[in-house]
Amino acid sequence: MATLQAEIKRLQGDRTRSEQFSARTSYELSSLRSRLAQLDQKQDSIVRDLDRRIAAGLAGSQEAPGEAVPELTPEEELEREAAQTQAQIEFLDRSLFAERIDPAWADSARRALDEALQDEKMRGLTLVSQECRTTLCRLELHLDSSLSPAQAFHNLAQHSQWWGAGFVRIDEAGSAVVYLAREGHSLPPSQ
Amino acid sequence: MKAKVLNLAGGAALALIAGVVTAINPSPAHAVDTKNYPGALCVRTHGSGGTYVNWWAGGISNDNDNSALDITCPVIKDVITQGISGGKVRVWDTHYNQDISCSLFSYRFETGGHVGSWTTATSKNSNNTQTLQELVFGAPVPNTTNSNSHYFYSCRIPPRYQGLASFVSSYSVIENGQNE
Repeated sequence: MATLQAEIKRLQGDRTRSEQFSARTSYELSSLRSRLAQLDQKQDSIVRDLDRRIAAGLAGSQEAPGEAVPELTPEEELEREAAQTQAQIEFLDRSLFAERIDPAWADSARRALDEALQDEKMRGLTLVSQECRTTLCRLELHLDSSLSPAQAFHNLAQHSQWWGAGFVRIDEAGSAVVYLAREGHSLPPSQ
Repeated sequence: MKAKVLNLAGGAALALIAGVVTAINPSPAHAVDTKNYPGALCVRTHGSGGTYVNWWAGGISNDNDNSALDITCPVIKDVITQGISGGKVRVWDTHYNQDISCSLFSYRFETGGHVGSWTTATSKNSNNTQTLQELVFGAPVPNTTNSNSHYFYSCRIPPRYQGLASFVSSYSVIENGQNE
C-alpha cells in the first residue's frame, strides 16, 4: 500500500513538472512569435523611413547635430505603441518567471480561474495556458469568432471574480494574454 | 551708490521671494487635475443583476435583496497622454459580509487589438450606513495611456442586507499634468 502511495505521489510530481515544462515551452514559443512580429514591424518601419528620407532628398546625407527627428506618422505612432505593449508583456513575463512558486496560492488561484472560465458568461473564451507563481498569474486565452475583443474584455473584467490588479491585451486575431496580481499586490511597474 | 545698493538688496529680496513662491507652488510638471463626480453618473453594466436606483442625493444604490449590481462609472479625460495617478470611490457598505469592490481601468485600442490595465480596491465589511468609506486607488499598471485611451471605474454593489442598501456616493480620478 505504501509503495502504491509513493508511486502515486511520484507520478503526481512528474505531472506537475510536465505541466510546468509545457507552460514554459508555450511561453517561449509565444515570446518567439511576438519577437518575430516585432522584427517584421521594425523592418517595415525602417523601409518606410528610408522611403521618406529618399523622397525628402536626404538619402545618403548625415543628419546635422541637433536636427529635429522627423515626426512619426499616425501609423508609425500606432506601431510604436504596439511595440511598447509588447515590451510591457515581455517585462511581465520576465517578472512572472523570476518568481518562485507558492504552491498553496498558485493552486488555489488556478482553481479559481478554472472555475471562473467554466462559467456560462465566459463562453467563447478557451484557456490555452495558465501559470501562477507567488504574486502573479498569466493566462493565454483563445477567443472564438462569436466574441469581439471588447466583449471578451468585458467578460474577463466582470466575470473573472478576480479582485486584484490586472493587465490584458486582446488581439483581433483572437488571442488574449492576461496578467493578474494576487490580492494586495500590484503588477510590477515597467522599467 | 546708495541707489545701487538698494537695487541689489531689492534684487536679492525678489530672488528670495521667487524662491519661496517656487517652493510653495508645484511646477507645472507636478501639476495634477483632480475631478470629483457624483455616483449618479455611473450606469448599469450590461448583463448585471441587481436593482439600479439613482437617488436625488447623487448616489447609486442596489435595492435588490438577492443579486449584486454592477455599474460602470465614466471619467472625463482632460490630460491626453500623461496618465493618472489614482483616485477614490466613496461608498456606504451596509452588507455584513459582502463588500463593494471597484476597479479603476485604463483602456485603449491599438493596432490590431485592445489593451487594458486596472487596479482594484474593496470596502471593509460594515453594517453601518452612517460610515462613509473611501476606496483608494493607485495608477493602473502598466500605464496604457495614449491619445486613444479612456478611463472608467467598474463597481460591484452587494444586495441589500436587512432592508439596507449599499451605495456608491461619489468618485474621483487624479490626472497627471494639466489640460493639454
